[in-house]
Amino acid sequence: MDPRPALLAVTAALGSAAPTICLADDFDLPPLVGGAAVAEVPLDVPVEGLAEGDTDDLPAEPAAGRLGNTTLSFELRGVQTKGLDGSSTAALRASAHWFGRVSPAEDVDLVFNLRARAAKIEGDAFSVEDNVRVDVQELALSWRLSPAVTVDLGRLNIRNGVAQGFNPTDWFKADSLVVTDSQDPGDRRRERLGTLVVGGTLTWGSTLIQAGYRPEVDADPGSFLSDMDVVGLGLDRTNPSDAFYLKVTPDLGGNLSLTGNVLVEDGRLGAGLELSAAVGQSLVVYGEAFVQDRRPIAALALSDGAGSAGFRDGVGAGDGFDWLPQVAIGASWSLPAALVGQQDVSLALEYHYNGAGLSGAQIDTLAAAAGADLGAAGAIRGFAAREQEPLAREQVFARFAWNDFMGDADLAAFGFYVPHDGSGLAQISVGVPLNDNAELSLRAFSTFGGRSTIYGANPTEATAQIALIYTF
Amino acid sequence: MTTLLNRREVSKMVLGLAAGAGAFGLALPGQAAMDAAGLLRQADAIRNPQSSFVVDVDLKNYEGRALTGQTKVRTHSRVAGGQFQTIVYITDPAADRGKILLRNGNNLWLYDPASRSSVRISARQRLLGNASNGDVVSSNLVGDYAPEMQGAETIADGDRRNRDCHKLYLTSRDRSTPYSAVEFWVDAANARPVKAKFYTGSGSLIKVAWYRNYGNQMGAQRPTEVVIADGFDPNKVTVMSMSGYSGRDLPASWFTKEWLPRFTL
Repeated sequence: MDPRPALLAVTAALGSAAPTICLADDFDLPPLVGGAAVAEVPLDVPVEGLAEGDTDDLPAEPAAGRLGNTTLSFELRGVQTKGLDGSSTAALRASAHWFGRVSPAEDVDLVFNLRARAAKIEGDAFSVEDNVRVDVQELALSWRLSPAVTVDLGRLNIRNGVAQGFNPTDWFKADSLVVTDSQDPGDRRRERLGTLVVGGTLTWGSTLIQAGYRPEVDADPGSFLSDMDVVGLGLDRTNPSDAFYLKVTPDLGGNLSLTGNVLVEDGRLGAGLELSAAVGQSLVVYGEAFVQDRRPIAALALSDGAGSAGFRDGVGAGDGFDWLPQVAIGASWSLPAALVGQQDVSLALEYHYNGAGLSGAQIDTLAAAAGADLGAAGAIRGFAAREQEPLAREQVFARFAWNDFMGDADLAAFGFYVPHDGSGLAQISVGVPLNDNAELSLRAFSTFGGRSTIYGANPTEATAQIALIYTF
Repeated sequence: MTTLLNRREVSKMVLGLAAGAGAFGLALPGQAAMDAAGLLRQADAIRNPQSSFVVDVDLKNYEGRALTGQTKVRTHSRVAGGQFQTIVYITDPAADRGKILLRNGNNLWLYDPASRSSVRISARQRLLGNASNGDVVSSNLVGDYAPEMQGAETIADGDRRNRDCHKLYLTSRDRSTPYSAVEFWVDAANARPVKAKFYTGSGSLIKVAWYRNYGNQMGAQRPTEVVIADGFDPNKVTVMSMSGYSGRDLPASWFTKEWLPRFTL
């Protein structure tokens, strides 16, 4: 006779009486846990009585509160910054961020992403004109003309790319940032202005085709469309020229994901693709590339003729249009259970190539800039930062993430490194949920390398930040 | 540590010896005619409707007896080639509202509405407490695993009542499956899933699931709760509660990462 039924019955009886979790090591019995989910089912109630209840019903609307399926969050952030010159500055920033997608009418969606922010910087007098901003990051209408066709009109954050540290195919990232507190590319995707477009999506079988037009917005300085105090839309930044775009995403099924794209910007062609695949349960490999008929960063940054002839020649400021490739390839690896059990720990490593960036010799020229050329060198660095492109032709990126490393707290760290000059940037962040709505966020970053290197020349050498974020 | 191979071999030996003598004294109605794949297919059809559907899922995470977190999602599942494509839309907690997990074959993407961007993730990465991505998305086991019958056992079901079961041993057909092997018990009377033990490639028990609270959903009796215990830390438990199953036509084009910015409930 098998003794297990009797043993189970005894163990079950003990489990019903015991106030603590009851779970045999060999998982013979289901666990008893707090709350109503499991513990309230008494052992002596016939299972069939519970099982046959007709619970068939239509899905209720998800309980997302009065905000529907939009998200409203408030953030209070303290920032301590150490400058390259040794100065130290404190700042307090407050912001409200509201975004989502709602349907004001059948087949019509309103996409919005609005942010209001204020900053008090140590040593500066506070004024609404200078220290308060309202950012219309997105505001667009989307019409479903048919199940296969959707048309969009308005400001949208059109995001491309599969890499984590640098996205060559993300055409519209240039000069779009509204907040630069974080060096994390993931954070910066949230903190940018969208692009004014008219576009649409066509479904052809299981292939998705997206196309659109970005009109040039030529606005006067100080105007509502450009950089008016408080409410300026910054459309001159996000829509500096005409552009047509096309994206095609076939359903390859299984494992591969592919998106091809074409951009025609001011009549000049660019084309790219992004590709990713999973290898087993833990590894994802990916890559994206974009090649465009364009000028290099140094040539664009010094188009006003700044810099001495020798300096300009040394950084390639006279280079004209050429087909310049940009590439990001990498892999992310979730550590296997054999190493970390059920912990969610992942590593990502990427190689970035920017054909428009500086070669080793050009980096040396930049580093050697002196006298009047320092201004030109600063212009190159500033231009690359605004464009959100790597200034060095080659760099590597690594990220470490450990979710729920302590309770529900998440830990993430990442870094960029330029092999040619040994400079880089590293950032670490910890997010500690206080409850379902509130989170405490800690973040610090620092550059490293000599003061004339790619990253070491960053005017902000290091920051430490603490923030309280409340989401409704 | 006992390896999976050893566990399996021992299990086979025990069951092989006992089967001829009517192991555990159980009646096994229809077992002769019931092949393993057929039984697993029946169990799959009970776990999930075999047509496109929408269902709300409430995930409660416990540590010890204490509730440590709760996530609510709505999943949209579309049948494609005997398997499901799934969109998991998070409705709670507030900080994660609007985030989407997409599974299409071995393609897993996490979409962030604040940046309108998607990150490709591996099947091992967890989003929802002790439940893995593979637990939350709909899936049919029969396509991904090769089943074999391992006789009969009486086990404790999700309500701690003894239940006569067929035991199946599922072996992964390729490396893309979430688990290397699964011990799977189905009710001998009606092929309802009762319990499953999931193993990694190294033979480690990674989690144990009990299927319970059967109710009428989309024309069939289906489990409306799955209790998932962490194989490494038995104190960690997730309870998945499903409600509001409804059939719905879902276009194939939704199940690409480029569609996710357009997805609405």
